[in-house]
Amino acid sequence: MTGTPDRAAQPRAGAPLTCLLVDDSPVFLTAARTLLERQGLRVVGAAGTAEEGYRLARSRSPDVVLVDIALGTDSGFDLAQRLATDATTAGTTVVLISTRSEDDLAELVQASPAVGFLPKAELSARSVLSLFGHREP
Amino acid sequence: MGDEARAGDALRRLVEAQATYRRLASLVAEGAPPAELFQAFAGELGELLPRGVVAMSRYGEDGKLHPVGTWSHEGDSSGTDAAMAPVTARPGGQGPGRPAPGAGAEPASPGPPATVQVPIEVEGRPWGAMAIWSADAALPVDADERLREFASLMATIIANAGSRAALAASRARIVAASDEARRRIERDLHDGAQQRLVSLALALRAAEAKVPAEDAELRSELSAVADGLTELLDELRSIARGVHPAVLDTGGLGPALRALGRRSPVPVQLDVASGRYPEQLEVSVYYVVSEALTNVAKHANASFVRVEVAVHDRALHVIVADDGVGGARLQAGSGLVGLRDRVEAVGGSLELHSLPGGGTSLEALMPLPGS
Ligand SMILES: Nc1ncnc2c1ncn2[C@@H]1O[C@H](COP(=O)(O)OP(=O)(O)OP(=O)(O)O)[C@@H](O)[C@H]1O
Ligand SMILES: [Mg+2]
Repeated sequence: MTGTPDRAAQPRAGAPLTCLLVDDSPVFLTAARTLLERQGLRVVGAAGTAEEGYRLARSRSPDVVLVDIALGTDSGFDLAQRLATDATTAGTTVVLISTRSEDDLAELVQASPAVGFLPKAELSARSVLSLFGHREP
Repeated sequence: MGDEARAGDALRRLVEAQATYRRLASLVAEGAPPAELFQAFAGELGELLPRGVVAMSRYGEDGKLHPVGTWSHEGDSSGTDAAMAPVTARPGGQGPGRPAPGAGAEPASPGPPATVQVPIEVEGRPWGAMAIWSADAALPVDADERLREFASLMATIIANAGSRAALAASRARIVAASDEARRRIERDLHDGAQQRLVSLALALRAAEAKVPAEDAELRSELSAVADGLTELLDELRSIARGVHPAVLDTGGLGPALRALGRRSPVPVQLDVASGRYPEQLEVSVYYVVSEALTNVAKHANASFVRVEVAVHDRALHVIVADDGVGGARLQAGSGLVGLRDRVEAVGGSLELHSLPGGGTSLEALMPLPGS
């Protein structure tokens, strides 16, 4: 059999977890989308800037928004803050991602409204789902 | 001995006095501003003129002389225009001007000149002029020559101060340019190679997910390549951090230094003043703490390190103190000497206190801009 979507990728019976990617690197967006979809998540959008990410988060109401910390001239922390304070998106789970060291960023992630951090190299449906499961109610 | 002869001898002594030169030169070395230097110069000169006035002026961009300051026994040292009015000498000129009304000097009666003025030339170029005049006595006949010697001493000191300032500015530019280059390299690595490698690793994981479950061999081969890529990424990430600590840009010194503390094998007690500082200072503080903690881990055999970053008197103070073996020395070509160069380039100072058996403390002091 070929790789079937991971059962764990379905937080609600029958419905895959939906996620939005926000990253200024197009090559990363493509790779991440392919991987997450293949592993059973539904990627409802990919944004290259904080502004576009904010717009898509409002219009597509994803379960999870994966936000790159270094968004070109924008800061992923600012976007996380904006999503948390906007009534429309306040319920969305935000996960920060970066190629930079988790150890360096831990304190800033802790202080942000994001549920957690994922090093980009460790991105997978499983790791996203486990952070989604650990979000505060 | 008449007033005239006494003043002449005294002027000569003054010019020849090593002590005077040393006093003035050390003021220059401390980076005293021109106005303060002038006050010191004029004070030395004025000691010899019972009711004398000394004035100095400097050529401006407009090619005209502008007052630097005046000095007199009455204590009306200043840089007022009225006091500087008599300074009209052109470079190379030597004709005495007239004392300014209200500058504490009365025009002398006919006889030997009561006012003498000479140009100051720095490295062959006209810099300004220096003038003296006396309220109650004629100036010594050789006052012109003596003042000229004095002006040339002044010129040497100004020239030295100029090259010192130019050297300091060039050092600061070199460090700033190297920081900027390192920031760019880190950014290029992050935006380029690291994103591409991460993407390749994810693409491999995606391919892995498509491998039929029965082909365990291919699956494990792909998995091994993906693991190798992840290790390579870790390596690249630590290289990038060594090139430039990007966390400084995002979060400032607090998070950056706490991350250093977490990586230290020796327990660190950290006390960092909150707030953001100019980029170059934050980077310098980071390198001081980073190198000091590396040294503690490598050499100190310590059980404890204290790191403190505080602001006193418009300067950043950094202390890294351990309770280890001590006996550290600054030696050519090593980490600590490089740190001293960097700290001095931003106008600061670095001190090492390290007696054998008494632990080591490294202290850096870096002035904040505008101080
Ligand atoms: N905290 C310390 N405790 C004890 N000895 C120290 C300490 N820091 C430095 N030293 C001693 O002082 C010397 C000079 O330190 P420095 O950092 O300049 O050079 P290094 O650490 O040997 O080399 P580099 O920093 O270039 O890798 C060290 O070789 C070591 O012997
Ligand atoms: Mg060292």
